[in-house]
Amino acid sequence: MKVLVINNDGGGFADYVEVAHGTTVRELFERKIGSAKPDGYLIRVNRLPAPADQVLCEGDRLSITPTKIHGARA
Amino acid sequence: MTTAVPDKRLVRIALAIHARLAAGQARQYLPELPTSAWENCRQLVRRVRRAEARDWPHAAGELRFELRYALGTLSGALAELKQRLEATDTCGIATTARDVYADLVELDDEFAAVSFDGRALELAVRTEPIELGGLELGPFEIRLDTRQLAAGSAYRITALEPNPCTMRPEVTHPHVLDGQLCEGEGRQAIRRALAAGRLYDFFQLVASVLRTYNDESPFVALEDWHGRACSDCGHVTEEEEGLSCATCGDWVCAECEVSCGDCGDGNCTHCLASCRCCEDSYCRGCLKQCPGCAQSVCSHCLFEDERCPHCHEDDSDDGTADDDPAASADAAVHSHRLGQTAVSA
Repeated sequence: MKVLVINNDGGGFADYVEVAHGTTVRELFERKIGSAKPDGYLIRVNRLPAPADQVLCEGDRLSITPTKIHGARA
Repeated sequence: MTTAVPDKRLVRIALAIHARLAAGQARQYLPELPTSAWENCRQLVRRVRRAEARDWPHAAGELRFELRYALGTLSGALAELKQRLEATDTCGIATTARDVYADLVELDDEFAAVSFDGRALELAVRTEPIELGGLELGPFEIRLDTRQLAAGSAYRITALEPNPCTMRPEVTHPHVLDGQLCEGEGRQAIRRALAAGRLYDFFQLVASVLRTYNDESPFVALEDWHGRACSDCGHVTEEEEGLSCATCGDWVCAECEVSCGDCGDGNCTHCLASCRCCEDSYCRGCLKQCPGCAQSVCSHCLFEDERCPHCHEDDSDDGTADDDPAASADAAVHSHRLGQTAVSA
C-alpha cells in the first residue's frame, strides 16, 4: 500500500512510499530515519499525534519533523 | 461518528491561501544560468592558450591560477542553482485547499496564537516564550507572506518581548538578525515546505530552529549576549566588569581601564596622556600646557610659575642676571654671567 511520507529531517522530501500492510509508525520511522530516537521528532499521522505502534493505512500521511534544528550565522 | 463542523473563518483563509499557492506553483522557479561566470572562464582559457602559444610560461601559470579560481566560482553558482531548483520541486504532490485548511487547524492547536491578514495575505503564528541556555528571549512571531512562498524572504521573525543582544540590538535571537532567520540545517526542508504549500510543516520547522541553540555558529553567542566589547582590547565581558570612559564615554573593560593620576577617573587608553616629566598617566583635563615649552605636564610637576621643571630652571637662571633692570641699563658694560678668576700679582 502507498503512504505519503514527509521527511522534514534534512532534505524535507515528500514522497509516496510503498509499505507492507500492517506496517507501524515505528517501523516506517526507523526505515526513514534510522537509529535516531523518536523523542527528538514530531511524528504525525494525518496531522494528528500517533503512537509508535499505530498501524498505517492506505493513503495515510506520515510527517516526521525534528524538534531541534541547528540554525547558523550565515 | 461525528465530524467536526468546518471553521468558516479558516475555510475562507484556506481558500485565499490556496489560490495564491496555485498561482505560484504555476510559475515554478527556473534558474538564471551564471553566464557571466561562464564567459569569464572561457576568456581565461583563451588567454592561457595564447600565453602558451607565445611561450610565456609565467603568464600562463598566473592565468591558470586565475582559471582555477574562476571555475570554483562557476561550480559554486551551479551548485546553488541546483539546490534552489530541487528545493522548489514539489515532486508532483499538489497541495489542495483541504490540505491548507487542515494545516490551519493544526496550527491553531499547536501555536499560542494564529492570525491572518486578509489584505496583505500574511499568516502569522506566535511561539511560546523561547528560552535558550537560561536566557529568556520571549515569544516570537513568525509572519509568512503567502504571496512570496517561493522567495527566500517570504517570512520574518519578530521578537514580541525582545531581549536583544546588548552589543547588537538587531540580533534578537542567536540565529535571527534584522528579522531574518538563518536557517542552517533547516534550510532545505523549509524551502521545500514553502514550495509545496505545507504551511504546518513550515511553521513547525522554523519554530524548531528558534528552539535550538547552535553554539558553533550564532550571530552572537549566548555567553556574550549581555556582554560588551572593550574599546581598547576588543574582548567581550559582562557589563558590570567594565565602565564607561570618563572622557569619551566608550566602554572599557576592567583590565584596560586606567585611573587618572590626579582626579582618579577611569579612562580608556586613548583618553590618557603622559606627563612630560613624571610620565604618569593623566586625563587630558588634568594636564596643563607649560607656557614655556608647550608640553603637557601634571599639576604635581608644575612649579608655582606654572612652568615645567625644565622651563622653570631655565627661567631661574635668566632671572639671576636680570634682577635689577635699572642698574643694568646705566652700567658701562652690560655683563652676562660675570664670574671671578684668580689673577697673579
